[in-house]
Amino acid sequence: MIEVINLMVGLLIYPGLAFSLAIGGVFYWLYRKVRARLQARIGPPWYQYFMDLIKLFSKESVIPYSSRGAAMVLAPIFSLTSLVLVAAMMPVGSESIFGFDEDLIVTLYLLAIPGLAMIIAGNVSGSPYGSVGSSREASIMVGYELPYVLSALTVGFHLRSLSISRIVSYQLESGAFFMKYPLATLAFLMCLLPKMGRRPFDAPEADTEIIGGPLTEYSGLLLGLFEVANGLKWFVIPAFTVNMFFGGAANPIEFLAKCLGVVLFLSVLDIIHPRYRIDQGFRFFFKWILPLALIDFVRSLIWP
Amino acid sequence: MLKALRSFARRKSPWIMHVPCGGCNGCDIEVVAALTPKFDVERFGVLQKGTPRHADILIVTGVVTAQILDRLKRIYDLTPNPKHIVAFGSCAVDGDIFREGYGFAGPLDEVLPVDIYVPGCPPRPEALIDGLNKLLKRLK
Repeated sequence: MIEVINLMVGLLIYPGLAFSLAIGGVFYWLYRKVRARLQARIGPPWYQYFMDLIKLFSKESVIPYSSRGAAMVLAPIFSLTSLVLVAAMMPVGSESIFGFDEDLIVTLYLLAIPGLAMIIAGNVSGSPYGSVGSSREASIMVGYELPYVLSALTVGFHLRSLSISRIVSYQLESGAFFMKYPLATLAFLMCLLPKMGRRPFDAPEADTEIIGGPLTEYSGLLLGLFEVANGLKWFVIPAFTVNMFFGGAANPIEFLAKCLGVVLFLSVLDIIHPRYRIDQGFRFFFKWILPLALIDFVRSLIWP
Repeated sequence: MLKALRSFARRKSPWIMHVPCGGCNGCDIEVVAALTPKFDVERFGVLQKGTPRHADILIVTGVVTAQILDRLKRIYDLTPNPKHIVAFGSCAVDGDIFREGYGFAGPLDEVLPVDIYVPGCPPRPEALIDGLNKLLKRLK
């Protein structure tokens, strides 16, 4: 009984849904605020993300006649579930609640699911814009997933361990990995931009060209679930980066401060760049980012 | 309590969609100007969306012509409830000088339920912000 309660609290409150959503929503607001300030605007108030969520949940959800039924409802749920599971496994501070020995592999798999859910969402919603959006998402995924996984596995191979808690405790003893593997860190950070749907790699959701991309036909509750997933991404992905390359942290406050650094770095990259065409983005990943990731991956194998 | 939260959220997060009908493009430029950094409607939570599925408020500019009539009604039907309409510019309000033209299909409020009128030819971006503000105060 106690275990079940612990499990539910872990999944739904700390460090699962509620905590991650609160922090992620604030980080997302911060991104919008920084963008507004850099464009000499005032920007939205701090509760903007939560008000958007409540409004979307209170609106009518339309499921279009041309959509293919259940998959349209399931896609946001897939996205949300995988992100909540990752959030529960992620060590916040030095200890993780649901961490186990191979959680790096599981995290990498689960973090690929939101992209996959986008592809499903675009394809089943029965809109041409959705199909274009999902084909773009699929192409950019082929580009970024390989260097992303390689640079994450660099750390795993260095330690001969696939446990995120072990990676964090090693870094707390002997220095963060971004000193030892700067190229892998750079490759990892670049792969986060398309993973979070940010410029210059936001071609899948380019709202000036293909309206809403995969989300064109979504409305109300279902769109709100995708927004929740987006907010969770703003916490989970920076948290994963901090744990892997920036040394984790001994306590939650320090951890959130480091996440904030990653969020600001990604926000500024997003704001100062225009959008790449899909082939330019794809070429960028294969020409520049994959070699960077490979160099450090081979280094971790032969000279750890 | 929950109702108060819901109405607060609706007032704080109006997503607009801009529906240009048969106008001369003057009003369209003014609507877009309201979204630029100088006027910055994002501080009120306004985001421009390209699809009616995401929108709460439709901003209709220009004369409702016979050609656009069916499409305008269809866009209105695609928008999920609760939805609101802003008639932006003299043409959308009453037809202005195109009132007796052969393509005129009636002022906007005879076609769709209009919530707020922003007159002017074209209205300034401040007028749009004022109109949105008055509309949002009425929401519950």
